[in-house]
Amino acid sequence: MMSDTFSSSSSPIVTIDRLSRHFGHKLALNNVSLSIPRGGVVGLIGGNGAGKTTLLRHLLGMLKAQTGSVKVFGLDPVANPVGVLGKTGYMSEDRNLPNWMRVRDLIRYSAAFYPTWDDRYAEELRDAFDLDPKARVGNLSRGQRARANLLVALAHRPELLVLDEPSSGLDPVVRRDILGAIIRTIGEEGRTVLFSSHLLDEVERVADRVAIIHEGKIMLAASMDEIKESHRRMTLRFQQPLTQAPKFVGSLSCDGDGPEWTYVCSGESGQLREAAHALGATVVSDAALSLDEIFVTRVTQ
Amino acid sequence: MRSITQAILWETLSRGRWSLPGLFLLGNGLPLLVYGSLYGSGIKAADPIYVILQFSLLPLVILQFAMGISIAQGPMSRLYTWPVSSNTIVAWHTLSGAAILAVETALAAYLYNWLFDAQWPILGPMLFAAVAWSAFQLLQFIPTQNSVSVVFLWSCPLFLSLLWMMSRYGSWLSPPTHYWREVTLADSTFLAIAAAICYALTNTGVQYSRPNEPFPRLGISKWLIARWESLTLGTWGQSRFRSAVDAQLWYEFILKGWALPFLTAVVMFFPLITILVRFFLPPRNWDGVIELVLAFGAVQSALALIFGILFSLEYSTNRSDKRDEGFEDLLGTFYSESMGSFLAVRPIENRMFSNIILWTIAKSTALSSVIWLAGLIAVFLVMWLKNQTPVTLTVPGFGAWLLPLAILGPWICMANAASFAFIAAHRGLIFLVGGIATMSLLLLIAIAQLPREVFLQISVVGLSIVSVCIVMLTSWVFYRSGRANQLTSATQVLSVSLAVGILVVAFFLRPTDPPLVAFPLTLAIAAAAILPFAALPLTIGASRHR
Repeated sequence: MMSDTFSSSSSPIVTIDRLSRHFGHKLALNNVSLSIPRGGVVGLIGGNGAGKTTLLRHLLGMLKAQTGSVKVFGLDPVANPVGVLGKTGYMSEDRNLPNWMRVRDLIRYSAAFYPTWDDRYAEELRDAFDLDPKARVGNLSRGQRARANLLVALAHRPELLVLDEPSSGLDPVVRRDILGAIIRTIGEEGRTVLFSSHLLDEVERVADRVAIIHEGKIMLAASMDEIKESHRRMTLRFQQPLTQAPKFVGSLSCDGDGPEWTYVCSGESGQLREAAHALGATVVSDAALSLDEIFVTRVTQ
Repeated sequence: MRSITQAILWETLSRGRWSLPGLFLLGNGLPLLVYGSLYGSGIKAADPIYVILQFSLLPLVILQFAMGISIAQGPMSRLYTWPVSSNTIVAWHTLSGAAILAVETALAAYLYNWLFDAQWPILGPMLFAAVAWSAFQLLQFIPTQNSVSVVFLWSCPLFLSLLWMMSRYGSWLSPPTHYWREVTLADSTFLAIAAAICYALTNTGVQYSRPNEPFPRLGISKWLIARWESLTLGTWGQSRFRSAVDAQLWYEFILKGWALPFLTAVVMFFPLITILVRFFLPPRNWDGVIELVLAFGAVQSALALIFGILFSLEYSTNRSDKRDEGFEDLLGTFYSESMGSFLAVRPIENRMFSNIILWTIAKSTALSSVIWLAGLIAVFLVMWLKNQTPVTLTVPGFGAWLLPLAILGPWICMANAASFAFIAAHRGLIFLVGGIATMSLLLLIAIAQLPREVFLQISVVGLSIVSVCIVMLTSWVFYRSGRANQLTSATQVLSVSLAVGILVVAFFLRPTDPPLVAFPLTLAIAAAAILPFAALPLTIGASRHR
């Protein structure tokens, strides 16, 4: 059963309850409720302007809940920034880093804020990312800047890693580094990664759970397996040609004419087949959808 | 739109619908205040001070108008993908900006002449403004990679053009003696050549900038930065920080705190050199040097106000994506309505953040005051050694308040400016100052028509109202901050002690017969000195958690 929250036996690391946010007249988040369990990788997907960044900024206390509430580690990130941010790593969409610092200063400065900062790990990452310690942040290329941001977000081994569009505008090598970092992080028990993206192949590769956000609303939140199992493309052949597609249970979209109609629907394969037989149709094909297809169907519904 | 020229003109006027009038008002604010007060005091346009004022105010006025035009035009790089040559792009930007700036300069001169009979010349400053715009374009569009290059590129032409301007108002390196009324053929030729050179160089800059090729560099700025870093960072630049507070103190001071003491040191350097030179020469008139050193005590507060705004700035946006920037983009780069994510996600409490900034401001203003006082002491020492008449640091009707106010002023200005800047967008700041300038204009026009006694009465009433407002605002902000749990007991004790201390010092150093307005003003100064303790955590919170 899919809802706007993830089912899990572990305690939630993030709890969002009826969160709404306006920017002027624009409603950026509309009564969002979402509970993210501890451990694993959660992909937050949505189109441009869907509300991904706004949602993530609430988790970090950069935006204050206008209505509803946000809890991270059971704490309000606005009231208790030290409790939340001390255990959270963040990579911003705009790679907001101080241009005037050198890479070594950035590492030294960031280390001071986190008691859990791991110097050896930071050095390993710096080496792996090929970052020159003497280089000025303002002079780094876009990819190097993303790596520097990732280093700072990872080196204190955060319990929650929040990545906002981490791969946006980056070449495949840097994207590989970022995905590698996500995988490394979840290799450590109990750590959680929450990342937003509209590069769905990436999300499909690493996320255990996915939340789809569209026009400020969570449309779907479930594990990747559940989502894939519960979305099918089914082509039905009816006994007579039809001018209009008959209503089909769980149908999200349909296309066709005459006797053959193709439905994209939400539901388990067995139930959908039974429903097709009940309509007097035979199932010509029944296939799983890619995340990309599910996303497009959901948001254009 | 029938042509690209029309489209660009429409874009400039449309984008500049706020910045052009806003910065026109802002640019006229200071001259109107200065001329208004002189006019109100009965000093007529024949007084030589008017020539010095015109010479001093003109570059400031032109600079502020130019900022408005730059915001209106936007970055030149937006035109790089258009099917037009680089020459044409530069010509459009240069000619339209120069025309607007020349018209604004002429309008301003007409305004002062009409309101105050200021006798500003029109043609010379107009032409100078047009050429200054060409130079402004050049400086904006030479691709620069660091702030040292920017400072170098901005200061050299500024210095040279000011020297040339001085020669139009008298002789080189001496105070101006007359207006630049006659624009000679030599002047016109010089200005035309300067404009042509600026145009050619801007063109060259765009040739490099358009295909994103690096501009040739001599490496001077790299060398200067390396020397500056070795001076300022020292061991602080190498060792590990002991705590988050230590790291943030480093961040704030390295980025913002050094600016005021550095500028004070630079400014005080010149009178101190003069003093040393004069020490070995026959005694001359010392008034100029003493006045300069004393005046800088007051100017420090004005500078502190500007540097206070720095504390809300970020310097963080990804600049590697930008090839060149218009003034608004530069503002946007350094300044946004909410705190950037890099600082906002530091695991540090708002009140601790506030304490760090206030400590940096205290350090910055204290260092600046120490440098200024050292200069002052040096002047007095030399005067004493030369058997000159000692100068007392008292002003009639002002008692011995001058020195404590000169020391306290930078703190009040810097800390309150920092508090305010965290919650004001850059447009808000521009229009606030523009609004103040407009109000001042209306006030001055009214005052110019009123007798002196009425003017003084209005001043007393106005100052009293402002003082009461400051005290009430401080009380309210302390109440809000206390309710928001942003005031520790240590901060409360410090605030009360500071306020009481200021009042006690003010009482003991009071003039023999203080005017009635001095009492609410003293209270307001004490309130303004402690206001940031309560206001800054709140405004940081508002900026950090929008």
